[in-house]
Amino acid sequence: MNDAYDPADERLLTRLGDLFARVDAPPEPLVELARQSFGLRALDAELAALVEDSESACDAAVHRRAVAVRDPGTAPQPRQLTFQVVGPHGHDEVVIAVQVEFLGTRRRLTGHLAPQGPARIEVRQPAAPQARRVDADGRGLFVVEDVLPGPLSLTCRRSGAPVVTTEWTLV
Amino acid sequence: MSDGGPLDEMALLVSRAAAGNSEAWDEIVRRYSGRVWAVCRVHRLAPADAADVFQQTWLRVLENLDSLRDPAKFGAWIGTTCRNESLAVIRRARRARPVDDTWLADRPGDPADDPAAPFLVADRDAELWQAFRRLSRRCRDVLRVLVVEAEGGRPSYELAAAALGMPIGSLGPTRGRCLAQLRRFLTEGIGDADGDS
Repeated sequence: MNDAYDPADERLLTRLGDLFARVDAPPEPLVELARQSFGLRALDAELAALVEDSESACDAAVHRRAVAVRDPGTAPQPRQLTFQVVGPHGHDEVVIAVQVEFLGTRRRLTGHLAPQGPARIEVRQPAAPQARRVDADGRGLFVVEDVLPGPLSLTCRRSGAPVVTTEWTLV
Repeated sequence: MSDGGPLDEMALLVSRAAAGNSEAWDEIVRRYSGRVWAVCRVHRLAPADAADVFQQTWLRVLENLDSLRDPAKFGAWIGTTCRNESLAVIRRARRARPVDDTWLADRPGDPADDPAAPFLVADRDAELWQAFRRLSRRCRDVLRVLVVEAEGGRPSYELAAAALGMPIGSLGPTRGRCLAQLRRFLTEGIGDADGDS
């Protein structure tokens, strides 16, 4: 980068920087939440990466848009998220598939685990003071009601298997 | 650009935070919050969306601390992450409001579009504020992201380029051009032209 340092440019940038620091600084409650998020680290858990998101498919927006134009009264379609831990040999070790339904200002999650089997699911959200826990049944199915909009991470604990936590995702 | 000191310091902070030191984390948040916020702002996110993206960006940083020890990459990574999260939110909002296309053109969230903001600005800044508002959107965005720096830090070109989806090499020239324009507007004083293009 040819960063020709013009002192006049630098002065002007500094003035602008001061201006924005005064009129448009990040809101302090948000900065405080960011600091506190340190307590939300998932220690000693394997990260399940988001490998599929129905919202990020390039044509999803266009498709939904066409649908919505035809029928503007329709509520948003559920969003499908797939998280996965890939083992050292390249095959799936754990899959956590979640459907997100939009119910007004809340979300409902319906999920299933593969391999199937009972598990304890921990729901973490920075907006919620405490992690919530729900159980996945013998087939690995679980439901979480009343999820707040915002970042979300699920942690899955089952006996005899490593703890798995999903990548943070905005829902 | 090889400003060894601050970069070494960042590497140390990230390593310490990754090892569980919350004070190091607080310091990283302090240094980069203004920049992350600026990236949310240039994407004209509504306040609730900006808050979500801001939080989400920090949680993604936290989750990836172990792989972010190279401080030269830290800025680019955080800029890219915040941009991607912003674009995803915009995409979802567009889907939720499909009937009217034009709403996107004039999103709230850009302080330069906020008519109330000038009243928050001290007299000595009013002229600068007015001149800034007359810049093109591109110029406002580039300058907005570039001007925010930590105390004694330097502007993060890596972060700004990533956040704006620009080649890093074009950032310096664009910055120069935008500042020249800004200076011209300042010299002209507060004109009546609305130079928003």
